Amino acid sequence: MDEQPETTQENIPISIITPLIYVGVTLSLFILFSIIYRRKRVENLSHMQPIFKTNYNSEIYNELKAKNDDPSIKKENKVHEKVLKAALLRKAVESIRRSMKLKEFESSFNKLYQLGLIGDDFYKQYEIQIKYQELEIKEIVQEVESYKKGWVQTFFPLAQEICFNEALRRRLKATDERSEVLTELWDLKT
Amino acid sequence: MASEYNYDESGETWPFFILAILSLFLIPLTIKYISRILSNENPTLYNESIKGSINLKIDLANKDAIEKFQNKQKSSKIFNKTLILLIIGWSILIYIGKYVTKEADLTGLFDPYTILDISFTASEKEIKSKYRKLSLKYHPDKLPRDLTEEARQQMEQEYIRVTSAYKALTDEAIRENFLKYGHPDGEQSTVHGIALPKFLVDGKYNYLVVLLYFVVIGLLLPYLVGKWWSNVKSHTRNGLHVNSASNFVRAVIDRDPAKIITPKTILDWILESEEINQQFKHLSKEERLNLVDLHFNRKFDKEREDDKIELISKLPFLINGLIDIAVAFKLQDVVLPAEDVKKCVISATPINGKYHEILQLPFVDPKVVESQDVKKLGKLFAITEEQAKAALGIKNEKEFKIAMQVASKIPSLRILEAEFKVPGEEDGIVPPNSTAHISLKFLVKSPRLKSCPDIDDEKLKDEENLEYMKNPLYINEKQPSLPYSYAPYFPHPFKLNWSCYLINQKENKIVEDSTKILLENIDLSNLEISQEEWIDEKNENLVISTFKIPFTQPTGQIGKYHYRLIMKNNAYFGSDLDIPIDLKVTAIPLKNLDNLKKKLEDIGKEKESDDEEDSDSDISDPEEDSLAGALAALKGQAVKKKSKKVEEIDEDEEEEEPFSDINTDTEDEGDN
Repeated sequence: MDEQPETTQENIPISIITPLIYVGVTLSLFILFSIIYRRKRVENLSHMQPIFKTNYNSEIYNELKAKNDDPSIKKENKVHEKVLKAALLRKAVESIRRSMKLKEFESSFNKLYQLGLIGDDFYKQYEIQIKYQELEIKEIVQEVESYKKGWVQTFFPLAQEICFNEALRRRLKATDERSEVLTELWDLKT
Repeated sequence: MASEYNYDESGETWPFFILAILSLFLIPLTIKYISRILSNENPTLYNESIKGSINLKIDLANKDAIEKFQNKQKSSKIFNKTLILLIIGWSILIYIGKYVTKEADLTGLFDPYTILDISFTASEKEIKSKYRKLSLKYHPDKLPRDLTEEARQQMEQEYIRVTSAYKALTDEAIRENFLKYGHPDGEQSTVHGIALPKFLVDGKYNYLVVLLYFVVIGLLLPYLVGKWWSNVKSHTRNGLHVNSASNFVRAVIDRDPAKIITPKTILDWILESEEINQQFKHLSKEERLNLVDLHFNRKFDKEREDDKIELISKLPFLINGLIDIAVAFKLQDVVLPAEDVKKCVISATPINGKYHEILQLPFVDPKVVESQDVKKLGKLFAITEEQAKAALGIKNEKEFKIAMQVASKIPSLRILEAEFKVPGEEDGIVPPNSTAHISLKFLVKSPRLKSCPDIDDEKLKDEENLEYMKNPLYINEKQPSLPYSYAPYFPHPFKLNWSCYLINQKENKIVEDSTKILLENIDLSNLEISQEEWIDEKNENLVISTFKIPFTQPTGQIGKYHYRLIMKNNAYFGSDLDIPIDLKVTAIPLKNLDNLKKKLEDIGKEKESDDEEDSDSDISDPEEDSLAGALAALKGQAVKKKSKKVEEIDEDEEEEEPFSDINTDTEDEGDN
């Protein structure tokens, strides 16, 4: 082996700060990126159109409840408790309907997501919606308990019954409309 | 290693480095680009080679606009960003390859065989004789006198090389050196280099390199990857924009199950999708609807024609996207109207009404058609020509001929047999938990042909060869592929196909896990035969088509299950199919089982003895193996099914029952 004579090499002084700066810059870039990314994602999600349309039942109840809790309103002008209870029942009905829909379509959603037929954000929205629905049910349970202890046992079966009954009624009422639509579709002028 | 690096001052290495990287990108890109251009086949030429295809050109009022659109599409396939990238890339590559790279210096390499110009297998004798010849030529004493000093020295150098090469092959010690280090003089010094000129690394410009590194790794790379990723995320796997997909899903979920989904509803959903919103920002929703209506009524508007064609050409893709989503939700009441809208878009017929079959023909007068009674294509051929002419409302003789010609070539499917089959089982027997498929035997029939020929049952049997046992679906691919469909009003050509959906009658939903199955291969030559050939008893010129539809689930327990098969043609009305198919799962008769058991044992014994005797019987083994395996599986299940297994499964079903109850209550009742 040829031993090469050691060349006199200029020693460039590298301060200890250099690698630290390097690491610092890289790390801060990563952090910056992740912050921007997350913020953007949350913003995107918040801009997304919700899965379900406006929940009027829930809005009505919240408004009534707010009126009831408002100390500035006189007692005789306050909403009667029966009205509040009815509104709460309606809110629960809608909540049950939505939970059931989400549950029913769970496998379809997973399949769509696995096949890559829906975007990440939308799937996330779906997951958030499920969680939201759970929280809403919990909240309703608390509200129910606040009116009367032990009412929950009868409250939810009742809400479910209303839900089913309404579904049935919707279909019954829709018959006329269906016939109209079909007449138009098949061009059956009478 | 020495701490000193060699720098690429003279520019020997870096061009190769760049060449390698460039070609890594350019070659695949070029192949992709060229294959995309070549895939552009001519539908007219293609259809000429296929029997039963419709190859008629008609002149429409918006011919120019359609041609313009097609040319635009064609040229966008050739002249796009990729082409610019390719031109720039290749010119850089050629420039570097031709002018910047220097001949690699190979003098350092030592190969005695090339120096002596002999083959690797040369014997010692040959080496010796060759060496003698060469040394005679180069030996300093033998050189001619009139050589210049320079030439003389070169010759001497050459002589030394020849000598050392000869020694490397003959002398033991030197040979060892050569084998070990690749050079007869022993180990050569290795050099590590940086493929950059020195001034960039050590000189005052070194910050440039650092900056470049930082920009490429720190900024450019994350940016490009991010952009690519967000692009991937902004479109689904089928190329649909995620926002469109989400809108479709929302529409499907939050719809009122009591309301009927009509083609109109579907059209509303589609026209609000992200793709349309982006491309047709300048049009309001009403204007878009108007444009589509114009198309449906086969009317033209000079000013808006380009927009109309662009819009129309987008619709089938979007509708397919919606169908994919609806299939995942198993909602046949969304899928079927969507298929109808697609057909209306392609054949330019109104979405409402019952005259689609007649209205899809070219040149017809919609007002006349809708005021008379003929609704089916077959009826057109049952009445006299004069009557047919009156029914279609066509006055021009030539146009009438074309319309009738098109009508005669619109295929309808005449089912001969539709049943569940399990390969290897006796006809019609479907054992529990087996993998079955739906076997469809049908005749392609032209509306002009009357009655149905009698076909022997024998002709409907599939040949049970090994391939069939392995994968019965292979029959689908063996048939000729379908031609381009006849759609003069639709801007770009596409091939005919049928989309098949299997519906579970019990739930009135598309079968779990099943997807849209495309029928793309059928022989259409029946469309060209005469009435005599059609009802000929020997069925010589008749082609019986087969379509095998995979059934995604195992067949389940003993019992009867009801399904409905829907086949939707993508272009023609009157070609669809909607038939009930029953699945009857039966147990394998016990007697058969005993026989099978005996057979199995025999086979097992034979195999054992075979194995001992000779190993030549390998060829026949696999078949026996698979058969034995299948039989064993059957036996196992048949036994299980008689024991407690049934109860267990029943329990499972009951556990699920409450849910399906709720679901049917809230969602499905209204569909019926």
